[in-house]
Amino acid sequence: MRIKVDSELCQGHGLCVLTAPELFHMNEIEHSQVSVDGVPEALTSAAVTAIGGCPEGAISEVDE
Amino acid sequence: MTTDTRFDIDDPAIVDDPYPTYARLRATCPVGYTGNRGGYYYVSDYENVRTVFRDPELFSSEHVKIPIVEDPLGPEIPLELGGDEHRAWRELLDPLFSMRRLETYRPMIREHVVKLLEGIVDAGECDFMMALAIPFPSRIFCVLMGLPPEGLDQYLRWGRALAKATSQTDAAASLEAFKRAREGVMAVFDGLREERLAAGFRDDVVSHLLQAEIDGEKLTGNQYHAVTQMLFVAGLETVTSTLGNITWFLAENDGHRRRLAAEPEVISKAVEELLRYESIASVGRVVTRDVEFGGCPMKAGDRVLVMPGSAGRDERQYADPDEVIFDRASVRHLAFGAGPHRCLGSHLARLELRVYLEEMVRLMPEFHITPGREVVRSMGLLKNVDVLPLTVGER
Repeated sequence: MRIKVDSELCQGHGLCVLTAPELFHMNEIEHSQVSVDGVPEALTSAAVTAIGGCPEGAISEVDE
Repeated sequence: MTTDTRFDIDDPAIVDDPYPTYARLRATCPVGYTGNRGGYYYVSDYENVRTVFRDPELFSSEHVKIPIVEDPLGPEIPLELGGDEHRAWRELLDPLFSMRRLETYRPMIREHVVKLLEGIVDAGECDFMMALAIPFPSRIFCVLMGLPPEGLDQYLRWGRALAKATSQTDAAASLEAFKRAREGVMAVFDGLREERLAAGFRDDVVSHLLQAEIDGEKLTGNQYHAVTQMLFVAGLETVTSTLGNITWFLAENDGHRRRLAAEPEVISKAVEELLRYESIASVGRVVTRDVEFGGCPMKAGDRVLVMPGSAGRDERQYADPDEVIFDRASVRHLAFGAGPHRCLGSHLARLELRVYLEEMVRLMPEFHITPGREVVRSMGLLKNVDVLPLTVGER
């Protein structure tokens, strides 16, 4: 699974960073950025939670 | 023609529990008009609340108070600005309230909350608002801003007067108090500016503001005052109200409180669920062009009241919305708003609430509402707890 954050939609709530610190970090403008190339198997459910939990709907799965 | 629903956010009858009224609005007329406070459209359901927050072109935050309070300082910065101007301010302010920066304050925050909790435990009973909910976030605020803590009691009186000006009851008297409070706050920040300019900058918000530039220019006196006044009001009142509301819930729900004590790792999720359950702030917007929204014919210039407190209880968004369920897979509440005006202080509020709960379950795991004493609440744009009498120990 691969995921992305739409930087235009992201407003820096930071919930994804709290939910899955292994997958997301805050960048220099305090918006979220994906830290990994692909989501490790063990973190798939954390990624799904982060996608569903984003108040801006800014996180999505990348179609392979 | 628009029907007046007569919804009244200031109605004394809904102070104790506004949620049945909100549920009725969502079921019958989720977006509707009321003639109260000079007239406004309320927005009460989750999807429409989220839509309004995320469309600042159509729903401008140019005036966030209903009715409008004219302030000679001009718009509240950055809240009442829009577009590129707003973006420039957020780029300056967001790093000052970032998760990363606030993390360095965690030990200081813990130290303050421990001291206050120990005071409550020693006394055995208290008014929680005076004992912790008011002093805790305001002491942290002083440290972050660089304000001398000796003035705290005075700041709190001013903060209250500034916040109360949005209540329409006795508008003239509260406007007078508002003016006096604003002058007091300005004098304090003038003094702080002089001191920093003379004695050198530190790593506090005021020092960063004094060194910052907007469009290549240092802040003007008015901009400095408008932004510090906004931080002052936002920093003093909102976490206090949230602490009051969630502690009241935890005092009456032993099962939830004991679970936090038994499984402190749940606290982070619990904070989000409690913020959903008690999203305490409603905010105003201005419609920028004629539009039909939520079935209502809105005109440019009309006022809109956005109600995250009702959105958090929307049965179409949440199963069992009136139950506190720490294990919800996704909460996605709107307590901090959404869109470009998302609450600047959300990372600070979350950190304060988490550290408070961590220390509360450790130092004061058992408490209840003092028998025979009443919880006093008030409502307006904020859902407040004014008095919360607590006794430490089992019922």
